[in-house]
Amino acid sequence: MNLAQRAAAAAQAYRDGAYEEAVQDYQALVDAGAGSADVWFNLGNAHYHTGARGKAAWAWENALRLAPRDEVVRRQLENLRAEAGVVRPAGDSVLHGVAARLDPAGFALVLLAGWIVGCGLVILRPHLRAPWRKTVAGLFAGLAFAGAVVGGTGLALVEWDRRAGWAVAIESVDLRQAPHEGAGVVGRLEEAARVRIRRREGSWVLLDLGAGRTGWSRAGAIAPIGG
Amino acid sequence: MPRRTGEAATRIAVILALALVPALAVADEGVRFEATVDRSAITLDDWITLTVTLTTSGGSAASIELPRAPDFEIRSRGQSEQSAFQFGARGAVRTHTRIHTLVMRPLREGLLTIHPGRAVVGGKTYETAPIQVRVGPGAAPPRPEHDAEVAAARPRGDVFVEAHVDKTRAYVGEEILLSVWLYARVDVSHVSSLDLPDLDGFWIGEIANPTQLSARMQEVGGVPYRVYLLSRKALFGLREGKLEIAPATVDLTVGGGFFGRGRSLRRSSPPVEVEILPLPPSGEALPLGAVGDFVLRAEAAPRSVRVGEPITYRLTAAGRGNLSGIDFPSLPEIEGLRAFEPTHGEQVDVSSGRYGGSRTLEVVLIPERPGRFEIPSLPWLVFDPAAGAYRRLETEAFTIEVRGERIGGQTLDLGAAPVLPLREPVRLDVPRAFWRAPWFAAALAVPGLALLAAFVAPRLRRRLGTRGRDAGREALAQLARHGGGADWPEGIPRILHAYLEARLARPTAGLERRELAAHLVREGAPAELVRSLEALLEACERERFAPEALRSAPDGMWERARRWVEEFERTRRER
Repeated sequence: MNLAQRAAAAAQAYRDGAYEEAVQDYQALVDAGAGSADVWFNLGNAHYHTGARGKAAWAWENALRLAPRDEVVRRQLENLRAEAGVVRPAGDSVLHGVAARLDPAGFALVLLAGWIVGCGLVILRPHLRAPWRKTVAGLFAGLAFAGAVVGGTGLALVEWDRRAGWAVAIESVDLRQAPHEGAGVVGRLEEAARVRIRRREGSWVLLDLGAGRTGWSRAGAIAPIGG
Repeated sequence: MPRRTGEAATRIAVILALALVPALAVADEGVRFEATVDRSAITLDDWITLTVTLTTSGGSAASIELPRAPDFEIRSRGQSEQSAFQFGARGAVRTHTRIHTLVMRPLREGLLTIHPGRAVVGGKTYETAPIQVRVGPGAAPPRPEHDAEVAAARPRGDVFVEAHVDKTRAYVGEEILLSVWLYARVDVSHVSSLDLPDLDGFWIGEIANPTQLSARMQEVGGVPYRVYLLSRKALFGLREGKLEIAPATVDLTVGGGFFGRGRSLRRSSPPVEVEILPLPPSGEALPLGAVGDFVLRAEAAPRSVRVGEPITYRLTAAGRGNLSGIDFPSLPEIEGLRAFEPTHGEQVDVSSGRYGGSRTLEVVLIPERPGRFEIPSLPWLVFDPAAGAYRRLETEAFTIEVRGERIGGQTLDLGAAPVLPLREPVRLDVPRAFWRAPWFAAALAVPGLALLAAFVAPRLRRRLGTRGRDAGREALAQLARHGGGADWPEGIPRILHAYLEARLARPTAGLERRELAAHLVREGAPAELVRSLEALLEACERERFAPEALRSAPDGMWERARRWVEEFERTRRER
């Protein structure tokens, strides 16, 4: 079964209400490297109808990674979190809010184009004889470099945010003071909540819950966004 | 607040005009005699003021015959005199101005004429120009509604104050207009204060509180008065029974002129009694919503929403009456629609001379589940005092459609939610993060390196070139310094090799002649110049190993070496 056939089978299973089967097919597409925003979105829908809200949230977060301006996905995610009682995802900040909506590909292209054009014009400028040509070349070089700065800043912001270790709780889990089952419980992480992974210790992860709070969770309860 | 009448200001201007400009005319002609009217077109029931002015100089005696106006009835007349001194070429001259003022009412319609008046000054006769006034028919300009009030007023001297209510019996909540009028037969120059009584038992709305007084002529008991509106308020009785409106007191100044202080007066209005009647029984099971002439309108928008989206339900009561007394009907609780605390707004409109406007009530409704919701029609009971009867009003009913999809909020009804739609066909190609690929870094690095090279290369070339030029200058300086010395076989090769090392950026002293020649040719030196150098160095070599006693004199060798360096520099520059 090729990828297209797998996608068609997943969709048919979904339409038939066989959501578990649809989950398996869409997950197979993701595992085969065909995890586009559409596939992640459909996988999240299928998870949602199986009742796995945490996995649905994780899939939709991955869809948003690939299509940051997809408001349908964002709205479904917000509704899901409201349903799960996650009032405000941990670690949310203005910067994250901005970075999560930026399209890095666009910024990368602006950076590259601005840099190449700017450098080219600066190199070319001394060889121009007419003063007005020098002026125009300087002006456009300035604009190109400004574009490169904007592109570079946007790209850096997105990369910084994506490397921050974002993850989703795919099930509700107790958070502990130390990475073992006998440690004291310091809180509870709701299913579908977004958290940041600070570090790993074997099968445990230390989670940043925002506002300086941390807690250890079993790694199996947390799914990183973006693989 | 102190207030000035328009007449007082006009009078000041007239006095100034009389004192200054006419005085100059008098100086030339001695006499000025003129007649003016305040309006050239009036209606049959209106008034006109004729002003006749005679100005003489030198104290000449004068007799005046005022203009005849057979088509007008003179209702009042007045006279004033002014004296002034005018300084001119003939010294101080006394001028005297006499002003006659006549208030007249037309007796018929049409183009009426005021005939010339005559004055005899120093045996000479002067005439005013005839004046024509157009008098229109009954289409009189709107008269203030206080005609009835004026008719009801009783003259109480030259100046009196009247508080008038438009009705002495009113229902609870019905509007009563209270107007305070100042009546004057003399000039009122200033109203310094108006003290209105406490109006216990009434809700009060402001209708008019003029800061600039304007008068109109009215006849009270057959006597013309100037009448000024000082204040007008809308009173709404709050309880039944007889209520007294205590006197309103006015402090004012009458008379006086530009230099005069006038006379201060205090006048009070007689008290007024009104009777507030209870509302008749309505016969309805509804509470009273308002007293007045009101309509009620309801709006709901939007009417098709998703769960969690707000709907605004607005009630607007508009008309005449006490807006603050409006009690809107209550919206019943609707299961599935959460109602927030209502907010009120009010827009007062007194442009019609009555108190009114609109009052609104807004309720925000948030649907908590999908479905269809009915906002029912709301009954409202209004008592109309003009009709003396109740009116039952009904608002429009609305149907609100709420879809299952949800925006924001706290809950989601999974059972009611439809199956989430799939995206089909799905794209299977995953966009790669090309900015993380090595080629992207290379694509960024290449322009950067090119830019760096473009900056560095010219500077490097320039620097090397500078070193060569310095070496040339240095060699020439040394040759000049040693010029004529007997050690030329050693000195000249040493200086030339130092120069060539710097210029060719390599050691040359150890090179064979052929190698040195090859380097010089690569540097662009002409063959002749290369041979010249070889000959020079050969001569130095030969001489260096000759016995001291047989050594030749320099004989221009230093000069040859100097010319060679100069020539080599020139060829380099040319190249």
